Amino acid sequence: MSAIGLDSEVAEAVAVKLVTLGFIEAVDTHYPLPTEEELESLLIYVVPAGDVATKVSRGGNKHEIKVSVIVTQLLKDPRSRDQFNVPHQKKVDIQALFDGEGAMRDAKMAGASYVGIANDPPFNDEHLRTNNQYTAEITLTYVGFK
Amino acid sequence: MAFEEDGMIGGDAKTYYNTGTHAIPVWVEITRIKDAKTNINKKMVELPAREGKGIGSRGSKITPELSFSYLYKKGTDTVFDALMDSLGNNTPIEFYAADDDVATSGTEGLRCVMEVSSIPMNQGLEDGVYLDIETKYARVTESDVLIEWDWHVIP
Repeated sequence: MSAIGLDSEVAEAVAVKLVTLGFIEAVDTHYPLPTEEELESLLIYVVPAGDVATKVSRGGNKHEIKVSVIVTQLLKDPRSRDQFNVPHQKKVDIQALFDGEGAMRDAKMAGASYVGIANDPPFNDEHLRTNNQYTAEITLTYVGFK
Repeated sequence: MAFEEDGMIGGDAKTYYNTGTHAIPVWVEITRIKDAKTNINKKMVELPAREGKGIGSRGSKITPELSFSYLYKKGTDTVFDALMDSLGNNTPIEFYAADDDVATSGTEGLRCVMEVSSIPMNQGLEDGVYLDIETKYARVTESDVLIEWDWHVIP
């Protein structure tokens, strides 16, 4: 995933960091389309979600990069609080990496600085109702200059 | 293709205060800063004369300024205590408004001894409570030597 876009580079760097921190086993270089079998286990992956460039000087742009961390798992019993809590706890743990002294708060990704996090809604209600699938998207915003 | 150091955001800058001496500083980062602003202000003296088309000026004394907004918290806060001590008891504080970590070679920024002159507290109904700290350059000596401000670069 090299030289195909700044948001892809930041997403890959976030994935590498999550591997280091033990949230992801390995970094793949394909766009993730998980099979139903794969979804039976907890799956966490990172995808690029856009790059907005604004001219901020005569010689360069500011890039506001968004990457999404997806936390997803099929739940055998969607009404089981214990089953729901497994992926949900992982999602909360990833969010906590950006609070206070969290390991990713001051970490630059491919040279870009972390500036914010968004996850609205906290999990996808429709996925849960129709697929018995927990899906949460944590959107991270990074800023870099080029 | 990754980003290089072609600009930086304010959130990556670091502001420290010195709990040691000027000669042997012990820098403590003030992490609860939101925005910080430094100004190195030179007084310009006008020298009007009959000759020439304009009124020229020459530089005189240079005075640094530092202000920052500080996220207040209840209970124990050693940074707030130091700021209040400076306001109430005229205790000078040495600050280092650096562009990176003080432990990193090449980090640079304004290093100056200041005295806190103003601590307004904003208590907006639905806003975080911030202190908009204002400081003034302080005249201080250490071992009978005047401590001057400088643009300090970590060797």
